[in-house]
Amino acid sequence: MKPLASLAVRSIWNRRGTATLTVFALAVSVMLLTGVELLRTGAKESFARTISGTDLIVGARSGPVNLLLYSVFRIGEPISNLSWDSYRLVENHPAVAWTVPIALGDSHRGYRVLGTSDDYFSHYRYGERRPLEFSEGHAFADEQDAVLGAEVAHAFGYSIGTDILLSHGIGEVGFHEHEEHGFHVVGILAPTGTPVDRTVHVSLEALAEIHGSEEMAGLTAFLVGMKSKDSVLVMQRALNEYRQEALTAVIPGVALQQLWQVVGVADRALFLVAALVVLAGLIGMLAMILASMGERRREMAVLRAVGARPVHVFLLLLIEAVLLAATGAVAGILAAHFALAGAASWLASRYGMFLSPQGPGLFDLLVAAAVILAAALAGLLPAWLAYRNALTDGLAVRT
Amino acid sequence: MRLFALLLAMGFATAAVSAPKTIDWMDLIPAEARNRPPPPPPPTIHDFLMGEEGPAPLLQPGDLDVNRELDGVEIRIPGYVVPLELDPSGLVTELFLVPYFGACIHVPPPPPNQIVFVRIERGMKVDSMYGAYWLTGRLSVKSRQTHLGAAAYTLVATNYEEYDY
Amino acid sequence: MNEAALEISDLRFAYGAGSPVLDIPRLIVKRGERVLLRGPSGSGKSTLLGIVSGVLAPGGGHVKLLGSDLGAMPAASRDAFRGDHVGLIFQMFNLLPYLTVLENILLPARFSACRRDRCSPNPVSEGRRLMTALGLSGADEATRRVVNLSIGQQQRVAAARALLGRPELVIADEPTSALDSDLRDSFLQLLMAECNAARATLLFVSHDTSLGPRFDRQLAIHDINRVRTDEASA
Repeated sequence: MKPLASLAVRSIWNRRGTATLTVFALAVSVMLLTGVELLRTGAKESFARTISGTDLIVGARSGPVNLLLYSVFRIGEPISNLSWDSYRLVENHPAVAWTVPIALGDSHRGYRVLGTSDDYFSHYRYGERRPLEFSEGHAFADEQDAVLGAEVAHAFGYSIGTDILLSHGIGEVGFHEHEEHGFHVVGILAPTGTPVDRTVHVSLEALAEIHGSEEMAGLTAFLVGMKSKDSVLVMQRALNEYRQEALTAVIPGVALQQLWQVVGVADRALFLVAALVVLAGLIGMLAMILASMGERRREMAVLRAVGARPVHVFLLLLIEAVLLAATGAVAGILAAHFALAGAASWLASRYGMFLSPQGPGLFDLLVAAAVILAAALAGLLPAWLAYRNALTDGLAVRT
Repeated sequence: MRLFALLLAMGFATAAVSAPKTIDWMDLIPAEARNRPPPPPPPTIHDFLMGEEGPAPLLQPGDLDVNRELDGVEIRIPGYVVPLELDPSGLVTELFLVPYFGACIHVPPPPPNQIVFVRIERGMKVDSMYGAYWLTGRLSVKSRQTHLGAAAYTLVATNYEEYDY
Repeated sequence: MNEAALEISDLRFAYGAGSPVLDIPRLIVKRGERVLLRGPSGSGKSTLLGIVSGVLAPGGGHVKLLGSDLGAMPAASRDAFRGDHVGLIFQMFNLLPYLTVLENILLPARFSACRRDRCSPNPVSEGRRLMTALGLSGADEATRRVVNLSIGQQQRVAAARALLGRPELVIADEPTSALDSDLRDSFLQLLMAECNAARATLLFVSHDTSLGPRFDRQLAIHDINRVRTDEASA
């Protein structure tokens, strides 16, 4: 076997032009497949860990997935606000343990501003019931205080004591800077790997004052924790059926599950497409090897002359196919991991998707094995052709 | 050899003792409550939020009655899943198990003794909320009597399977 | 050591279901003999070489090479036998384009432990010695890519490869047909000198009758093969 392997390597090296193209095509297709899977699991994880320990999210009448997206992931906007009357009703209900109001709509240099009460910092959980922690400072005490998510602080180098201005709307540049309303950074949160990191938190009263309103700021949504699990479904139904205002109350786990059902279809389709692309890459490799068969008949005759058996000829071609595929697969997998690591911050800012960096794992091993196996199967064709030719050619190669 | 026989016997005994008991939702209502005359229709649900005298209890007599015989029993029960908590890979770790589909969407929720709060540590892969699942585990029964009801049934689930029709 | 290198009796061969190509009642080549086999194209010379080298199995009769009956061996054994005991030179395309000159010469040592072990002190130095003996030495000749060689040089490399490890039988199928007469003469001279030194038997096929005097024996294929084929039907 060893002499065959080194012959196979030299043979490929001799044709390294076309071999490189073949390997490149395979690598790109494997990169696509691996990338799709990485994105899928990363997105799922990123979304699943964003909110925990909250029984209900309530907003103005809207689809449940939509409500989840804008209130928790800061993707999209609500169509309208809630009334404070509805909020008070729930807040004071004996079956309710806690509520946290949320007002969205402003921004600071492209990062969303969240108006809320200081209960947010004690009741908001993520991951598996992990609470928010401060890496520096504390929650807001005065009206002009702000608490920054880890990434906001890092991006602009803010620290405790920095003064910042807010803009209206969520565009990257604000033309309506609230000049007189600077905020004072009093706390910076530890990184969570959720949209919290990309948020500036201020008090609701401060937001109200900015918008020149005597009352509270417009309420986008609120989070609810019930005293007892069994009243969750009842409260949800009551809010959905509430006659005084059109509301939607959603259980976060249910909305996430529904979100995944939508995504799941697209994701499976994408995976199938990627698998087909890999197949195309393998066909390209097969074509390359078959195209070289003609000129290699004499090569095989030489090997036969020095004592190689037809099975050696067979193995030589099979080894070539496997080597090409293995190189392409490994290159593709590594490229996918690098590309995703490089795009991580863009994905986080654009799509709220926080991918935890991880090296190649079990799935990648399976992909590589599958590609190599498929290549070996594809390589059986030229290998068998060469074997048959070796048997019938004798010493005089009629090409 | 004798040790082996002893272990084998213990194994059989344990298996016989802890084979989960398959139950259905009627079993969660205690025997005496099942035979009551049908109750009057419940007040409309929005009264839960603001009845004339404040939040009205939505419960019917007997909704809080629990079947104490099932406390601590290993059971196996089929139902629909309302996910509550997910683990990082998207598996459901806490959920409500309910007897009919849509309990969280557009039909009235079941009474407390027809809801099971389930914790499943290993996480459950719920491909579709439209399908039912069998859950196996140890049931515990509490009845805290408050006018708001009691988290009647809790299941610590060790296993789940898809329900085949 | 007078046993025959090659002993053929009643050899018959046809390709698949075709008409017979070979029908040879008797042929004996002694050890160390240098035989020239002549005949026109399509007369079955290459087929005979294929059988003698073990690439093709005899259809009927016996072919004994160095005392071993090739017809009684399975294909794998014939291949191994060839690797161990036979050196082959073709008319053209003898070399693997992706190996260097020296690597091509060392090919038999890759596939035959026997040939490898007969190189003293080791295959590389034997390879280099053969290069010198066949007029191939130059500073970087060993590592040159074979595509850069002239046809004359390529044939010498093929000869060196055929001789590596002292195989008992060297078969050359029209090795000089593509060379001009000067090159041909010097090639033959060097080849024969090495065969003599190694005491190898040489079976040389060519349509060129002028080479005759250099050989111990000349054979016309039609003298030994009862099958007559027209050139047109070849």
